[in-house]
Amino acid sequence: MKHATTMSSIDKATPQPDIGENHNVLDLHAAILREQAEPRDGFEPIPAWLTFVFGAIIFWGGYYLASFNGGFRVTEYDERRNGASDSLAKSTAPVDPVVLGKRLYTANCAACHQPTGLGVSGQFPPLADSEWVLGEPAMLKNILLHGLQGPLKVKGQSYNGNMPAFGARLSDDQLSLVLSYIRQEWGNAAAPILPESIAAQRKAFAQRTNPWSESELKTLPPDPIAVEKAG
Amino acid sequence: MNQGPTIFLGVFLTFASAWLGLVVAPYVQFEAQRSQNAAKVDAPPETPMEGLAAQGRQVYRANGCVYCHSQQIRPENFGSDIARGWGPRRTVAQDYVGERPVMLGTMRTGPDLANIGTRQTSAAWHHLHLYNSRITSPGSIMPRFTFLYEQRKVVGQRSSAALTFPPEWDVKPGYEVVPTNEAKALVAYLLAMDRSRPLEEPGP
Amino acid sequence: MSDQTISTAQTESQRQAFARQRAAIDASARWPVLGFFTGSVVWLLVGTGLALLASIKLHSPEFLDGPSWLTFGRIRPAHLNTVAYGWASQAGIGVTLWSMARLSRTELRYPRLLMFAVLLWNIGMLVGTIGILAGEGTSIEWLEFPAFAPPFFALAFAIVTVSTMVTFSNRREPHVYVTQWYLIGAVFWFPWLYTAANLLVIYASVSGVSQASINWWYAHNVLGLWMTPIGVGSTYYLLPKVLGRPIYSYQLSLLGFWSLALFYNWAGVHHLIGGPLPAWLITLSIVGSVMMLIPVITVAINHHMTVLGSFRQLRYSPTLRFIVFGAMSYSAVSIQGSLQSLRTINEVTHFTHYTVAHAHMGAYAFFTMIMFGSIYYIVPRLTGWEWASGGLISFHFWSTSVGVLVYFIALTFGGWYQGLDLNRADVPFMTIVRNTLPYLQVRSWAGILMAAGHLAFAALFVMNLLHIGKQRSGPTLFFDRPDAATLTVIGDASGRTV
Repeated sequence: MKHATTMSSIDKATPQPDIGENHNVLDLHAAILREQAEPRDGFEPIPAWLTFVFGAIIFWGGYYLASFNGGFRVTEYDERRNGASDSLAKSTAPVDPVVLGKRLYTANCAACHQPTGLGVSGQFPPLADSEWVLGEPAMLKNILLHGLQGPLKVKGQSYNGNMPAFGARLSDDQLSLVLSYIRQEWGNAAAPILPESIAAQRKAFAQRTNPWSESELKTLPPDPIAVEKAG
Repeated sequence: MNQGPTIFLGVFLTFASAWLGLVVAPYVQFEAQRSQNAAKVDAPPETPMEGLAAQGRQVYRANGCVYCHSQQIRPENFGSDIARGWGPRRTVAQDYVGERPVMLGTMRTGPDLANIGTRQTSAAWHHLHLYNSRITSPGSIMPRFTFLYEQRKVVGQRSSAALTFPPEWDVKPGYEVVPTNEAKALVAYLLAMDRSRPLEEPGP
Repeated sequence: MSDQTISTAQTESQRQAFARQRAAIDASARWPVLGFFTGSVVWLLVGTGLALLASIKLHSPEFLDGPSWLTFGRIRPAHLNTVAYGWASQAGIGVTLWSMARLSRTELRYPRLLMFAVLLWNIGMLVGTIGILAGEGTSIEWLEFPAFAPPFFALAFAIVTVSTMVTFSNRREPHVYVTQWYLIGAVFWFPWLYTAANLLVIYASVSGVSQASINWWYAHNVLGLWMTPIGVGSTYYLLPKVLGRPIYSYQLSLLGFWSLALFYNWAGVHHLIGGPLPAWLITLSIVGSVMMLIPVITVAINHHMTVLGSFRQLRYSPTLRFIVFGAMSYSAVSIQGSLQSLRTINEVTHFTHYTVAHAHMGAYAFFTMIMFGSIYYIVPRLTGWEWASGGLISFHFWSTSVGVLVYFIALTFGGWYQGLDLNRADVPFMTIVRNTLPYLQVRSWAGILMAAGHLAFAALFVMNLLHIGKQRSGPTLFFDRPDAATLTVIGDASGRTV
C-alpha cells in the first residue's frame, strides 16, 4: 500500500482489513483517521427574545407592504400613492386631439423638423408656413405615406435629403392626428385631415414602394376625396 | 424519518412563489399594459429605434457602456436626477418598450444617458468625447475608444467626416481621424436617446 | 450504525470503520472534486488579473488601453463572470459534491460523468470569456456570456444536480443534516434560475423592463440561492466537524433554512429601486430584503453558539479561521444589505461604488473566504498530502482578509460620499468623479494585496497536487498545537471540551 510507510511512522497499530473487506478502498491516511465524527445537531431551543425580535420584523414587513404597494397596479410608480385612483382617472379621460398630435409629432418628427417646426437650415425643411404643409393635402399625405427623396424647394430654399416613409409605422388615425396638428401649429391655419382621407390615399397608391420625388408630387392627380370637412 | 421529499417540496414551493411574483406576474402585467397602450392612438412605435441607431445600440452593448452609465431617471422626490437636468420626468416601463437588451445600468461612474439625445445634440462633440473624453471633459475617467476610429493619412482632400480637434489635441499634420461605421452608429444611438415624451403615468 | 450517537468517545474499531467508509467516499469523489477545484483555482487567477486591470483602469483610464478587447467595458464583465462562474461556482460545486457524499455516507455517484462536467464547464468559461472580450457580451449583468456559452454550463450543471441528488437518495445516513438541506436547495435552485434566465432574456424575445426584473431576479438569486446555501451549508458542516462539537440548535437550523428559502427569493428587484418599475414590485423586494434579517440572525446565533468557548482554535486551524471570517462577514454583509434596500438609504447608495463594496463583501469576504477554508480542509483528504507550508497559508489569510477589509472600507466611504454628492444637483459631476479617485486607488492597492494571497493559494494548491514539500504526519496549522504529537483530537465526539 502506497501509504504504508507514512502510516507506520505515526500510528501504533494500523488495523488490517477483515477477511472479505474490499481492499480497494483501504487507502487510509492520517487526515481521515484523525477526523472528528460527522457533525451532529444540538437541541437548544430557540431563545424566547428572538421570537419577539422576529415578530417585530415580520410586523414591520407587513406594515410596509400594506402601506407602499401602490395598489399592485402596473401603472402606479409612486409607492406613497396607495390605492388613490388618480392615475387611473387621468388615463381614461379623453385627450385633446391637438395634444395627441403633438405627442406623435414629438416622438416621430421633432428630431429632424424640430419642436419649433423650423427644421434645420439646409438639412431639414421647416413646416411652419410651408407650402407643402398648407397646400394640396394629397402631396402631404403621400409624403408621409411613402417618403420623399431628392432635391426639394421649400419656401425658396433648396434641400436634398431623404424623408423616411411613415405609412407602415403610423396608422391612419395617427397620421390624421399628426398632420392635423402641424397644419394648425406655429401660425399655420389649415383644415384637419381625416383618417378616411388617409385611408383612401393609402388605397389609391397601395402599390407604391419608392419615396416620392418633388416633380412627381407636383404632378399628382387631385385628391380622391373631393371635400375636406373643416374642424 | 425520510425528510428528503419534504425538503424537496419546500425548496420547490418557496422558489415557485417568488418565480410567480417577481418574474411571471410583472411580465403578465407589462404585456397587458403594452397591448393596451399599443391600441392607443399616441402609442410609441414598437421598434424603438431603426437603422443606424439600432446598430449603435449593439456597439453600446458590445463595449459595456452600461457598466458606467445608467439609462433611467429617478422620480423628483428621490435623488436629484431631474434637478441635474438628466430628464424632465422619471422613466417608466413604456419608455423601454421593445428594447433588447434593456441597459438600465446600475452604476453612475459617468452621467445618466436616458435623455442624452436631448441634452447633447452635436455628433461632433460625441465623436471627440468617444475618441478621448478628456478632450471635451477634462478630468474624465472614461476610457478612450480609439479603436472605434481610424487614424489615417489624408489623401487628397480631408474627409468630411474627419474629427476636428482643438489645437492642443490635434493629430500630426497630414493625418486625419475618421469614425468607423461603429462609431457613427454609436453616435446615432446616443443622439436618438430620448425618453422625455410626456406620459400620463408618472406622478410628482 | 448511525454516526450521530450522543455517546462518549467511539471505540477504536468504530473509528477505524468510519474512517474506512470516509476513505471510500473520498476515493469516489477524488477526481471530480479535484477537477472542479483545479478549474476554480485557474479562473481565480484569471479573474484576479482582470480585476486588477479593471480597478486600475477606473482611476487611470489610459492604462493598457488601445485594442477593443482591453476596454474597461469588456474587462469588467469578464472579471465578474470569471470569478462568479469560474472560481466561485466551481469551488462551490466541488464543496457540494464532497459534502453531500460525506454527509450521506455513501460514494459520490457518476464520477466519470462529473469529470465530463468539469470539462464542459471550463470550455464554457473559455468560450464565454473570449466572447465577452471579443465584444459579444450581452451587457446583461451576471448573464454576460454570449448565447453560445450557456449550453455548456446548463449541461454540466444537469450532471452535477443529478449526481448530487442520486448520491443523496442513496444515503446510508437516515438523518438529513442541515448542510444537506442547503445543498439540495442549491443544486435545485441554480439550474432553474440559470435556465429560466438564459431562455427568457438571452434566447427569447423578452424585452423592455420585463427583462430587467428577470435579470435581477436571477442575479441576486445567484448570490442568495446558489452561493449563500453552499457557503452557509459548508459552515454548518465544517465548524462542528473541525471543533468536534454539535451544532447549537436544530430548531434554529430549521428556522434559518426555511426563512432563507422563503425570503431570499423575493429580494432581487432591490437593484432597481427608483427605476422604471411599478411600486408594488419594488416594495415586495424591499420587504423580502429586510425579512432576510430573520435567517441571518438565526444562523449567526447558531454558528456563534457552536463556536463559543472554542474561539482559541482559530489560532491554529486554517479551515476554522477562513470559515469563521467568512461566516462573520456573512452576518455583516447581509445586515448591511437589508438596510441598503430601504428607500432612504438606497437613495444615497444606488449607482455608487458603495454597492461594489457591498458586492465584494458578500462574494469575497463571505463566500470566497469560506471556499478557501473548505478547500483547505477537503483537498488533503483527496490527495493524501498535507499543505506544504503553514506560513504560506498564513500569508494567504492575512493578505486576503486585510485586503478585502481595506477594499470594503475604501469603497464604502468613497461610495457613500459619492452618493451624497450625486444627490446634490449643485455639485458638478466632474467634481464627484475627482473625489472618488483616491478611494479607487486604495481599492487597487487592496486588490494587489488580495492577488498576492491568491498566488500563494494557487502555489499551495499546485504543491499539494504534485505532493511537493515535506511529508507531514499531522494537519498543516498556523502554529503548533500543544497536542500535535499525538493523534488525540481536540475534544471527543461527545461535545464541549478544551
